[in-house]
Amino acid sequence: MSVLEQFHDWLAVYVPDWAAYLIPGVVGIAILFAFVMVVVMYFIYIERRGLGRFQIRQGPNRAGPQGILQPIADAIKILLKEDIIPARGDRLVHWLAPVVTFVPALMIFAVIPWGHGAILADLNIGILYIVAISSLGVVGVFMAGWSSSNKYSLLGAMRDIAQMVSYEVPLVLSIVGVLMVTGSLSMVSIVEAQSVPFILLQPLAFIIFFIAALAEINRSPFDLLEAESEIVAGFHTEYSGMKFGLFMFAEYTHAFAVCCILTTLFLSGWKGPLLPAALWFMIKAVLVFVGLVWIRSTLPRLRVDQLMEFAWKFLFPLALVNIFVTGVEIIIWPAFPWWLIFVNIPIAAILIVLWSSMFRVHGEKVSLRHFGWGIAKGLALTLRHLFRHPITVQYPEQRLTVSKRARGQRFVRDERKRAPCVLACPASVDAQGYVAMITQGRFIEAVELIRDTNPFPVVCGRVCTHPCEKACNRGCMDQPVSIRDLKRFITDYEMSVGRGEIAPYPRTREEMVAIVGSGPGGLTAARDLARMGYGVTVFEALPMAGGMMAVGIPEYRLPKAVLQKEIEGIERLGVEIRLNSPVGKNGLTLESLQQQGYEAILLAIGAHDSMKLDIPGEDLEGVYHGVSFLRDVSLGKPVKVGNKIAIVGGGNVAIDAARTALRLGAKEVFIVYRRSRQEMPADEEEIEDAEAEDVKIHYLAAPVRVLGEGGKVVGLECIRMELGEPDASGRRRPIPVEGSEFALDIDMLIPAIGQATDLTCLPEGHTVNITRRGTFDVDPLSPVTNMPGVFACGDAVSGPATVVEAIGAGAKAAVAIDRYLRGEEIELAEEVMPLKEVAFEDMDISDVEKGERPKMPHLSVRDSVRGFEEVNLGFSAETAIAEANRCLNCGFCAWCRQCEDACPYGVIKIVPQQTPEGETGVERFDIDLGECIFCGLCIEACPAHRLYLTRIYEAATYRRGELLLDKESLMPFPAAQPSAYARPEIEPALPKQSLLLDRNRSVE
Amino acid sequence: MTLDTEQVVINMGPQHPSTHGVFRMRVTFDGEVILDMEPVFGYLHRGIEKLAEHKTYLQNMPYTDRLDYLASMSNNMAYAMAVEKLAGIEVPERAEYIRIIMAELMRISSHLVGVGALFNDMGAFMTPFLYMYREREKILDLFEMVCGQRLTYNYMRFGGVSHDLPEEFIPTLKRFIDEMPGYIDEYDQLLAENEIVLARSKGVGILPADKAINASVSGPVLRGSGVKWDLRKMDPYSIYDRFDFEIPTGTVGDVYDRYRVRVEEMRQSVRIVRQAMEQIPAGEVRTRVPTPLKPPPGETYVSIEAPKGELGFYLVSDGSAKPYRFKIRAPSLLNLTVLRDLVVGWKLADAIVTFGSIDVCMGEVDR
Repeated sequence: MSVLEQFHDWLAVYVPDWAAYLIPGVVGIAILFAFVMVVVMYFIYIERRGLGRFQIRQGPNRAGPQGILQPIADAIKILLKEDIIPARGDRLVHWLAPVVTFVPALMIFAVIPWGHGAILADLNIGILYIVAISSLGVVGVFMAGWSSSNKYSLLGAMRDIAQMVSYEVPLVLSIVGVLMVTGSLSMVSIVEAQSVPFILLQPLAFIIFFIAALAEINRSPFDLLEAESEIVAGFHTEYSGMKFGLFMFAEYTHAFAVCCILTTLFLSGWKGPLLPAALWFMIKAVLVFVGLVWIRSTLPRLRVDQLMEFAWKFLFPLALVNIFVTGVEIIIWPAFPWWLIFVNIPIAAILIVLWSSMFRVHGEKVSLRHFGWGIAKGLALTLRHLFRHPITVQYPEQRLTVSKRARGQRFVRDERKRAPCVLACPASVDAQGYVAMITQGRFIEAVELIRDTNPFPVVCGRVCTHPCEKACNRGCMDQPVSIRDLKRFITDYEMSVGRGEIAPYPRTREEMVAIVGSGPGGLTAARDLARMGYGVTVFEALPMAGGMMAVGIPEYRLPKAVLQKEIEGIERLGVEIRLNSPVGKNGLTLESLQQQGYEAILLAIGAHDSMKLDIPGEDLEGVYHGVSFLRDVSLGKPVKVGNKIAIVGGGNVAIDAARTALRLGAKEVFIVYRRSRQEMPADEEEIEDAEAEDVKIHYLAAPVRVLGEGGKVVGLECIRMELGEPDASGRRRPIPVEGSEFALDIDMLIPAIGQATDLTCLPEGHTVNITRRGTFDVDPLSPVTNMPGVFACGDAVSGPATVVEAIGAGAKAAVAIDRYLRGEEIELAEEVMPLKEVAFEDMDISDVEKGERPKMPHLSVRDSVRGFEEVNLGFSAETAIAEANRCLNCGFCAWCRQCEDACPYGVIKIVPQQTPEGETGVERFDIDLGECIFCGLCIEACPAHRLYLTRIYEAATYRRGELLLDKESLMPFPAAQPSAYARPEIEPALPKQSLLLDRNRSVE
Repeated sequence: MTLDTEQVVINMGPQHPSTHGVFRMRVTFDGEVILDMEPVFGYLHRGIEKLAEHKTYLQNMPYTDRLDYLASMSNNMAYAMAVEKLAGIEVPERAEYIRIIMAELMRISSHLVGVGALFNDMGAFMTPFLYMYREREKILDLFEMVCGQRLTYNYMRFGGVSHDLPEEFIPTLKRFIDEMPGYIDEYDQLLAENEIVLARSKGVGILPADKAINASVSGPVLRGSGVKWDLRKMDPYSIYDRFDFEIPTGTVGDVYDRYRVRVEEMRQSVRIVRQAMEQIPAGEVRTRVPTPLKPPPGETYVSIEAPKGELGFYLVSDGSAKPYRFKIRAPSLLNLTVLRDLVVGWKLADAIVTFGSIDVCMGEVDR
């Protein structure tokens, strides 16, 4: 007696008879419905999870432990989704279709025996009922396909009908075998009849039933009606929301039903030892379902014609044969004893092999002779993978030596720190930048980078006093980087390959500027003003442009041809240079210039007068002042030198004069200097070179009197000095030693103790303020004289200085003139720009190997003193690159904008730091990550490796654990405090790293 | 009773699960049988060839990543070789070896995707695809090691490659190379003899050799038809003449042959990578090249055997920093031209599988 009947009997005592029938029925249906729904939901979970594991993935694992709540999440989601009906679809049929599909699938469960007596309705035609009900589902599918107004849907529906009708036949015929043995259509009887499961007694029927059932429930490899890769989603292409959900539910309900039927028919239903009957039933049903999942994970899909042929030509005949064989067996052994297992299994195997050897798909093309062998191998492989570790969980564990990715804005720096070399340079040349470029072999770009602030790289590459090298942090470690010689190398390289086209700057402003003097300061100002768009004319008194660069520095240090080429380049940029046009003579005066329309005049006249010794005999023949001596030699004037020459002074002019005199044929050259070598203002290298060329230097000696004979110099009387207290300049003051006079035997004297500015350009009775030292008196913050529109810069302001200082002064003068002409405040911001340098102590140099700087190749002394050939020969490319690599890269972003130029999409932008004083540095790199393609060209372009060395930003490449654009790692020392410039409001906008991408997360 | 039947025209694509991007087949069906097929493409056209005329030579390198985005390394290599030929740039020995390793790993990776997607098209529910992606991931890890990227590598440079191999690269590569043949055996166990695979692919979509040659088809599609043509052997570029490998070919030219050729090519690529890995010398990986690079005026055409076929770059320089003309011979496009002939008369499902077996990448077809 079934459970429901007992319930009825009990109820009948208390309620009317009709109610006693109705109540157990309703309660039973409700319980069964709820049970089936829950099981089906977990069938979906088993399928997803199982497929995942067969495919070495994890499958759903996020909702609840082991993803156990995933079906509920799915159900909630699908209930909330929008329901869409195609505009030209049949609304009513479209609505009805899922219901028509779902209800029959559910109705099957009425006759499923869950246990002994646990059945809703033990119909005596149970199996017939199932066959009849389950074939109703096809109507729903066709309704869906028809009402969707979609060709894919229609194709799917057509396929479904053909498939259902075809596979129903072998399915039913295979059941016939079972029924013949049982002799009953009741599901309960069928179970009870199985003392031995029918899978063993009726193996052929089982196989046919299983395959046909797969097709009936549209499981792989017969899932043609919703074949995604072919017809998108088949009959439910146009379904969404809960209606789609119903289809999905119907499908899995159907699958569950088929598992139950299979369990009942072939696996002896609820029967089993020890465990409760219902549990045995469920275990079997679930195992069958896992088998379905396994097959789905392994097999591709048949084609529609192959599917039909398989049903009609393979399964159908076999099913008939099975009925025949079963019938014969029943006639011979009516009791169908258990040992028929050993008969029927071989028969099944033989029949399958025989039949498949005759079976052809599509005429004759493919033989299924080995039916099942290839499939079995595939199944074995997927089964093996079921027990492998899912690859999707490897990712968080994997420790790749590549970066993690993070995106968003990052700040590059929060302090105004720059490399000391850049700060030391009066012309603000980006030494760090061009040295870094040299390491990459980008020589031409490096020269252009210098030209940006310094129009005379060829000059500075040779004669610069290189304050940058004195500041170089590398000097604290071993020796400073040979920045000047590197500059020399790249300019030589540029000359060897030829400089490209030089296009003149466009003239954008009407105002004209006159510049007096074509020295480094004047020409720099001229170039910069031309770049700003002004018309610029340079007036040069001498027949040669270049000022002291041309007439002060001897040929062997700075070849004239090289210099003139550089000046030509400036001329081509749109600067007019008028030679032999001394202002203050021939009617060319400041007033006349202003009348000609020059609204601003820059006096960059330098210091071309020599200071006098102020000792007796200075007017004798044979006394030649240093500056004039060098100038006359440079201009090619005939200069006669004596055999024995004394030079007075310790500056570069003295050394230059000495070495020039040697080259002109002097036998013996002395330098007389009143302090010791330590105090000598000339460059160390220059002194060494001079000594190498046999110039004798008398230290601590001062001239007292020039000895003359017949109006000519014959000797120099000097006095010994000793060093006393430091004076205002910080050097120790020389004090004459009484009675220590001595005489030098000479025939020529070149005093080179200092230079003065020649102020003859100013008109008589001018009102320009002049300092006590004879230089222009300008505003401390800007090069403005007290005469309106007249500016001054360079040596004429500061007294004799270096080329690079003059260049820096020229650049500032240009800015001041620009402001003046625009009517703005002229005051310059430079003085109030508190940039700090990166200190050596703050740097991490633990991985830097020590190494000396290379020696500059020289002409031999013998060769060099013979003529005016250039003494220093320059580096080779290899030496230059090796030397450049010694740079510690201590600064931050060099602001060279190479990254901006390299970007194919123009995505990276350097954002300057805006302060009240203007743009004082680089605040950050902005990268529009919507457009950045992460190609990494900006990283490669960055000469300072700044982009490359940062560690968080995925600007492009984020390789080998070294990420990009992070402020902390961009700084050469770790930031102890959080940055004052950090912007917390930007941080939350960064996407959180997902678990799968976070490869550096360790799983211990 | 006579049935009133009608032909049905279906637009398969550009939004369709099996169009490998945005390809569109306008198919006329009689039931399930294809009467006519009109390929429609251009949905992914980005004008790369024209864009390239406005970018410097180096800036174009990332654009080549986006042609056949499943084989960016090969695209990089072909473009780098074209520019090197145009500008007369030498490539250091080590860089050549690195390039070969990358190109062959790329071939394996591309074929893994091609074959995996083919079986997806055939209805195998993702399993072969995911198994193959497991190995592809390992290759992508290797690529990520050298250049930081997993899809658009931008790794080759004129005169070499952008970075040298990291230290841990060769051991990882060795592990991969040792494992890979075993994995290929697994794929074969799963697929090669599967009766359904045979039924779906044998004799389907036959491309005869003469038709293949006439249509300028190249790569595995051509070799599947039995034509032994591989630029690595026929016109050995780079240093391919130093390696010992075979050119696998098919016999019939059906879907199955094309699938087998790809699998065998993976085995051959593993061989090449192994040899290259053993022979690779130390040294520079990049010649110094001026930036911006300005090749002398002239024109050049360089082609390589990319995973999908002959990939060629035709470049014209006018001496400036930007190419005057930048033309790509895309193998996918030319291989696709035979599709109509292969599918007419066959069933809907065959069209999908045949298209899958040609293995196109729409990024390259449309550019």
